[in-house]
Amino acid sequence: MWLSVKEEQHFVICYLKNKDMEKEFLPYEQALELKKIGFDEPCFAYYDVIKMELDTISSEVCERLCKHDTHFKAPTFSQAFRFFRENYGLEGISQRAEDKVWYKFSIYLYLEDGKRIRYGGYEYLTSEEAELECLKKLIEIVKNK
Amino acid sequence: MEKEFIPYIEALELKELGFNEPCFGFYDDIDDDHPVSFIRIESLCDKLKSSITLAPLYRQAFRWLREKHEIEATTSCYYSKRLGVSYEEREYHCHIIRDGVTSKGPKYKTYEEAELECLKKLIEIVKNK
Repeated sequence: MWLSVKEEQHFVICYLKNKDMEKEFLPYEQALELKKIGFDEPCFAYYDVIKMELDTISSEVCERLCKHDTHFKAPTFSQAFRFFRENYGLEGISQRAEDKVWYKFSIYLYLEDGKRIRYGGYEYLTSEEAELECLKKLIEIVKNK
Repeated sequence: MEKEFIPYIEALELKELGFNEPCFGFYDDIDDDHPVSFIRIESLCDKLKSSITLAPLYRQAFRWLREKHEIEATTSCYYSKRLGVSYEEREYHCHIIRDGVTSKGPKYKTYEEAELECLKKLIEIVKNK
């Protein structure tokens, strides 16, 4: 079937917008790492291991698909940060540095003796970049525990 | 999964402020309960009808406010060994950065509560611009 120029333009715009929406979910590598450290909460997106592609679906279907080794869950960034907060007491935040154009991230780990450890990263150009680096650090901390 | 999306009232407020970006969820304006429905990636563009209100994820809503209205916010945890507030007694509050100045909001028991109040505050600021 041939598409009209208008239909083709609409298709291209939709495709680009939809690809753009993928950034709401953890990238493939980090989603896989989260699975390895025990993330198994309801999600509405998953990665197909063979195609290495992301797709969204109802959380019920996602749950069924991800029982197989061919698929695994793709949490949103909010879900991932909540997972670390609630399961490991790790508080990760990314924010613009006051009076600066760049972004930073901070992670606080509360220890039983009342002390806390702070991890941080600075000078990221975008909020998204700082957020992803924060997430990578959270994964690293949990893996090295 | 519903808690990933901003509530109906705030989604409506964002719509009035001009939010119209692809979303994974939408609220039915006609149904009084305003249930949230999910949209699959490949059908995002087909769902932009007038009888629905798009349901952005929290992250999307904050990004939109940051990019369109140059106002940004972070929800962070508050506890202080010095002041005798342990992690078990922690609270959460919002930092709003506007024109290079940070202001802190009141503290709430949960992250989610603080995040929602933060969103409401940002909407209020933009509406009163």
